Amino acid sequence: MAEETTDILAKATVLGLGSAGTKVMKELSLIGASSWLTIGAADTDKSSLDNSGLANTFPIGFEWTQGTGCGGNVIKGERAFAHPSRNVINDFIKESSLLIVAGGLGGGTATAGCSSIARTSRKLGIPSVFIVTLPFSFEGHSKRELADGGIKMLLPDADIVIAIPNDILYSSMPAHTPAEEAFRKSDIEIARAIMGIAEIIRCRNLLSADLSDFKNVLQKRKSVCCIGLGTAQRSEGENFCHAALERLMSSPLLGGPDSLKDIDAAILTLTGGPELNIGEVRHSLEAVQRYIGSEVRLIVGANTDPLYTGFVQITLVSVRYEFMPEIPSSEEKGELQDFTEQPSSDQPELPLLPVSKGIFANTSRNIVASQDLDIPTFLRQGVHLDKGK
Amino acid sequence: MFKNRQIITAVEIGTSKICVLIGEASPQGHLSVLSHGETVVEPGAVLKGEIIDMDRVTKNLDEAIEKAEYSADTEIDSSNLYIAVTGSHIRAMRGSGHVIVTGESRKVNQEHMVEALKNATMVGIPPECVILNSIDGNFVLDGLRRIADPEGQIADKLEAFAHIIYGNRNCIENFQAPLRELGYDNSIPVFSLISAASGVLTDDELKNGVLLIDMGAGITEYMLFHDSGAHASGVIAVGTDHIANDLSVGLDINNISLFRKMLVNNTFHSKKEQGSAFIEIEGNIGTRKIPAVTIEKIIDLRVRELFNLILSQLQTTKMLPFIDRGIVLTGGGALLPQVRDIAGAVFETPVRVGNPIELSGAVTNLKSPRYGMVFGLLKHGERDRQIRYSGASGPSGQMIRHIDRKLISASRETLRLIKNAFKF
Repeated sequence: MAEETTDILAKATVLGLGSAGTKVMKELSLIGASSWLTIGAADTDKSSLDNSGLANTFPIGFEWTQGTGCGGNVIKGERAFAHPSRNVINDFIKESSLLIVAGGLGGGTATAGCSSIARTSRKLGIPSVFIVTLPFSFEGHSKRELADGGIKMLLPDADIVIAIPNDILYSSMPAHTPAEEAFRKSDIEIARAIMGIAEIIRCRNLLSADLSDFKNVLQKRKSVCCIGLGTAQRSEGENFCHAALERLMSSPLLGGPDSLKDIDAAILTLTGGPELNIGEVRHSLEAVQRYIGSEVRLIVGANTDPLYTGFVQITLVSVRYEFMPEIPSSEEKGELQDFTEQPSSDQPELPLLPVSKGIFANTSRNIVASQDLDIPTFLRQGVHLDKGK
Repeated sequence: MFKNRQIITAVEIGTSKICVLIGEASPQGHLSVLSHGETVVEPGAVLKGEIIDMDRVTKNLDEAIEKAEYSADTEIDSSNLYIAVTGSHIRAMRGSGHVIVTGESRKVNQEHMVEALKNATMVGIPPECVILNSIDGNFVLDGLRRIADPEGQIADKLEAFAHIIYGNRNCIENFQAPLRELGYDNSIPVFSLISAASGVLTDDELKNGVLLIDMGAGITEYMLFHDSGAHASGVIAVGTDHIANDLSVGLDINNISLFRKMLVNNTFHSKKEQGSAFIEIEGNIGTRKIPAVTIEKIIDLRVRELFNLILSQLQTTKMLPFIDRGIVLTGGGALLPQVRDIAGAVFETPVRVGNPIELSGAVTNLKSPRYGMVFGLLKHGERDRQIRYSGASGPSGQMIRHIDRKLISASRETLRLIKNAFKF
């Protein structure tokens, strides 16, 4: 098992809740480099646990649900997690240095279970990260409300909550993708995101970045965060770090390289085998830095692990604050803060007046210093012209 | 070494014209222009330096190549085919690298310089970008002395600075695509302003500092040179097309090609010289008399804004005081007297029009700033060809001074290229 091979300091436990979480755990256990993680799954539905093929499965509240699940009833889920059978879960997580929980909100088990697990981990003093998916928009308003309620319950106790709308996961796939494959791919994507986050607490030996950095960046509530992950084999040739970066940028959860332009903070970790050399580290980290610009608060970690022999994995967690809460200095505390002037950005003027770009109407944007250079200068500067007769 | 004559071809896919120059290099390395094929790009097929309509561009390029091949009475040598690349996606950055000078005497030798330059070009760029060209700026000894040629100097540490130009890979390949369509697979992309610098700048200007501005129909590029190295560069997607468009929008005359033609023929300026206060333009509904002041104002606002943008971008580099030789203006925009005047007024330095220099050969109608870039590309291509074919030692035993390598074709042995690199 993993505990024997890795440092006790860096024992990460991953728990899947509900049938969605269990499926993610199944995919996670199939990823080769995940063997240092302790993986478990808890569900009220017997069949989903049986199909997972995991070593640690925790049936919850089977005594009175008869192993048929909660059927989307949160009260049932809460009862199940209040039942003595959940003590096994407490035992399972109590010695870990990081707990990562995955689940699909909107059902019964995960919606209730997440907040319950969050309370336990807070009591045990284990930092916890929750990666939860939100239901599809076509699943209806009621499910969405359940999920929102679940997040509200979760926020006070969890250290980090990353909520991923299911719609995002599928928006990156072509419409003709077979349904089964699409669902499986999205599970894999979440599993890989878990791998990436778990990697953060291990980044001690080359460049240190750890969970406190992560918490520090995410502590401003109301931040939106995206995860991207790219791996590449050394056998892919000299530019394999670049290949990993490209895959990172095309990660569906990251939202494309363009989304990196307006982020506020980023956590970047790079893991490779023992043969990883400094030139490769420098090259790939610099490339990302150039990508996201100089004003972004960047936390960089690098790590080597024999599990990663022959390949490299780059993880990027990008964070965008929904609003920039200025932390008032000690004198100013309590006073009303004026709105600070917005920094100049690449955003063009609002098209309040119909302006003509002429032949440049359908070309790529041409914004320099907040000015759309394709609009005639005299229009932008409001110069009146005598057009003659 | 070069027994047969060498055919070099330079291709420019511009916003207003597609131009193909075929040149011949003698065994002594002397370059003469054999022929010149040019077609006017159909309006709208290329805008702001970006190809919009691939089919029409390919057709026009085919015609231009045919014309050039016909009058040169030779075929293009596809291994020596150079294509100018531009666009607002192109960015520049400064790379730096250093080596510790080893050896008993602590004398800087060529190997140190190669190593330092190699380190300087190892920079991280965004993954969807590729390095297009790199030009070395200069060397710094022990962090104290800036020097262009450090060989033989005694120092502990040698630093090299390189000006690296990179761009979006897809956008660059878009320029090569029409050539590929026509069967020329191995075209070599070169940033168009590097070509223009080879074509219009004198050694004296490169050494003492000059700001080169190439204002084409769709796009304007600038680069600042001092001490034979590049120090700052940029691309702004504004060209003479924008002036024509501003006029068309501002005067409510929806006839962009009319304004393009008037700009090329300098109609506005000659009318002004004649002292007429009104200019008659054939509008949508009959002829209109438009005050010359209005036209002048529209052009002035646009051009002044463009140069002020360049000025503000250059001010951050703190290199402006170094342009002893002023501004060299090339490209179609340099033909407009108003553009020259405004450039001089904004930068407060003398302005020279960059015509192709050291031009020789059968073709004589190239002496115009419109051809500065494509002629420079031919010259640049000839130097690059010599580097590629000359083996270990550079021609006439010239030292490594400047690098200009292309990482686009991965098959090149980069080290060999650096060893045989050139000076502008």
